[in-house]
Amino acid sequence: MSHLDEGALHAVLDGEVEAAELAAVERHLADCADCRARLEGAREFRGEAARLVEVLDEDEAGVVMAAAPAAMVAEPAGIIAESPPMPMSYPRPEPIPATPQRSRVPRWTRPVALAATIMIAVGLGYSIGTQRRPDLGAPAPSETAPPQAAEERAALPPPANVVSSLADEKKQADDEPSRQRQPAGEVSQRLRAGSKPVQAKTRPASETKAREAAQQLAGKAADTAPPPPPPIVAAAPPAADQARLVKDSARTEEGVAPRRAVSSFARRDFRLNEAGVADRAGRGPVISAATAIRTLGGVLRLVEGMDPERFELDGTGVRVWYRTAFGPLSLTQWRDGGQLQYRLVPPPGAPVDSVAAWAKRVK
Amino acid sequence: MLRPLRGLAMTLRNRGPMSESVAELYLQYHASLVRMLHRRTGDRERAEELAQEVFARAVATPPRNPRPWLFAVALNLVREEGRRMVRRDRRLELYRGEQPTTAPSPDEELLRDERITRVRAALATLNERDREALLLQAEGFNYEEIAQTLGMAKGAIGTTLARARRRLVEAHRALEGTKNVAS
Repeated sequence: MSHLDEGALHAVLDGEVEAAELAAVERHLADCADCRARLEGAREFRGEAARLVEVLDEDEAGVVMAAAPAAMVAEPAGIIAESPPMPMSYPRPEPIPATPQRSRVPRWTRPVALAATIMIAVGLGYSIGTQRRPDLGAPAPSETAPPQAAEERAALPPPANVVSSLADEKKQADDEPSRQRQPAGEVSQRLRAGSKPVQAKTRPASETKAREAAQQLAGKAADTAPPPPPPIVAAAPPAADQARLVKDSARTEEGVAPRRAVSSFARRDFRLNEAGVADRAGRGPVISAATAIRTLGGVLRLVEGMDPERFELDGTGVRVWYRTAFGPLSLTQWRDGGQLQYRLVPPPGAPVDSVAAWAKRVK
Repeated sequence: MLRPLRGLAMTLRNRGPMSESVAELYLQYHASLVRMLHRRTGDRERAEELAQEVFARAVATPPRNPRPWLFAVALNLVREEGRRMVRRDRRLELYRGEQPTTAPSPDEELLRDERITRVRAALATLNERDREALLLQAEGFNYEEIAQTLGMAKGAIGTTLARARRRLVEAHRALEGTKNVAS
C-alpha cells in the first residue's frame, strides 16, 4: 500500500474510512513510521482547528454558545484509540444546555451598572450618615430620591446588609404604580416601536441606556426580594375566548409555573427532571411541538408573533416557553373537563403594558 | 428582505402533519444552525434571523433530506448577503464614521475581541468551500452530509478538510506571530 495522503489521514481521524479499507490502512500505519508521524501532525491540525472554530462562539458578552456536537472532536475507536491522547484536551464549555441561552444584558450595561453601584454606595453612605446625625435635619432618602433613582436602586443587586431595606423599598415602590410604571411603559413602547434614532434625539444615550439597564436588572433585584404576589395575568384572551379564562391559584401552588419558579429559571439554577422534580440536571421533559399538540388533543395555544423557545410536558398539560427582553415567559395549558385552559406567567419585572400585550396575543 | 417567522409552531400546526415534522426539525437543528451561522457571519442576531428565514423556507418547501438542505440554504443566504454587503460597504463606512465613540473595553474583553478577530481573519484566508466544509464538520456533519450540502464528491471531503484545517491553523499561527512581534 502506498503512503496515505493528507486527506486520507484526516479521514482516518474523522472515522470516515470505509470498513473494507480500514484493515489495510491500519496495517500500513503499523508498518510505516512516516505515515504515523504525519498522522500525528494531522491530529494536531485537526485539534487546533477545532479549538479555533470554538473561539468564534464567544459572543459580544463573552457568552459561549452551546457546545458543538462531540462528533467534531471525538475520534473513532480502533486504530485511533491506541494513539496517544489528542493534544486538544482543552476544557469544554460549562454544562451544555438543550437550547443556547444568551445573555440579554448588553456589554454597555456593565460600566453603567458599575457607575450606578458606585453612586448608590455613595448615596447610601451619605443617607446613613445623615440618619445618624438627625441634627442635620436631612429628609429620609425616600423623600429626597427622585423616582428614577429609586428605580435604579431597586434594580441593582444590593449588598447583603441592605437586602431587607431594599426589599422594603421595592415593596414601597410597588405601592406607587404610577411612579414606577411610567418609565417601564416608556421602555416597552420604545422596544415595540424600535425607535432608537428618536431616542438619541430626545434623550441622552447614557440616560436611556441606564434606564433600560435598570429595567433589565430589575428582575434580578426582584429575585432577592420576598416571594412576589401571584402572576399579574392569569389570562387575557380575545373576547371570544373569555369562557376559557381561568384564574387558577390552586394550580400555582402545585408548581405549574409560579412566578418564583420563573425567576429561578432565569437564574438557571432551577431545573425539572423527568419526574418534574427540581434538580440541576436539565430543564425537564422537553417535547416537540407535534407532541405538545398531541398531548392537548390536537390544539395548542401560542403567543402570536413570538417564537416558542421550547415545549415542556407538565403533568397532563404542556408548558410553552418564550424568551423576552425581560426574561422567560411561560404559557401553561391543560385540559380541564374537555376544555383547554391556560395561564400566562410573565417574567418578573416585565412592564404591565407588555404583559397585557402578550396576554392579548394568546391565540 | 428576510421574512420574520411569526408564531412558527402555530403556523406549522395550521399546515398539517408535514409541517409538524418541520417543527420537529426546528427543535432539532435550530441551535446547531444558529451556531454555524454565527461562526460564519460573526453576528449573533444576524445568525438568528438567517436561521429563521431558513425554517420559513422549510415550511414552504419541506425538505426530504433535512439537515443538508437546511444548512445548504443557510450558506446560500450567507453568500447572497455577502454579495449585497460588498455593494453596501461604502455606505456603511460612512455611517460608521458618524457613530459616537464607545468607551474602551476592559482588558479581558479586549483580549477576547482580539482573539476572535484573529481567528476570524484566519478563517477568512480560506476559500469559501474549505471554510464551509470546516464549519459543517464542526457541527457534526459526516463526509456524506458535507458532500450533499456543498454539492461535492464525498471522496474530496477528506482532502478539503485537511487543507482547511492546515490553512486555518497556519494562518492563525502567522497572525499570532505578527501580534507577538508587534507587542
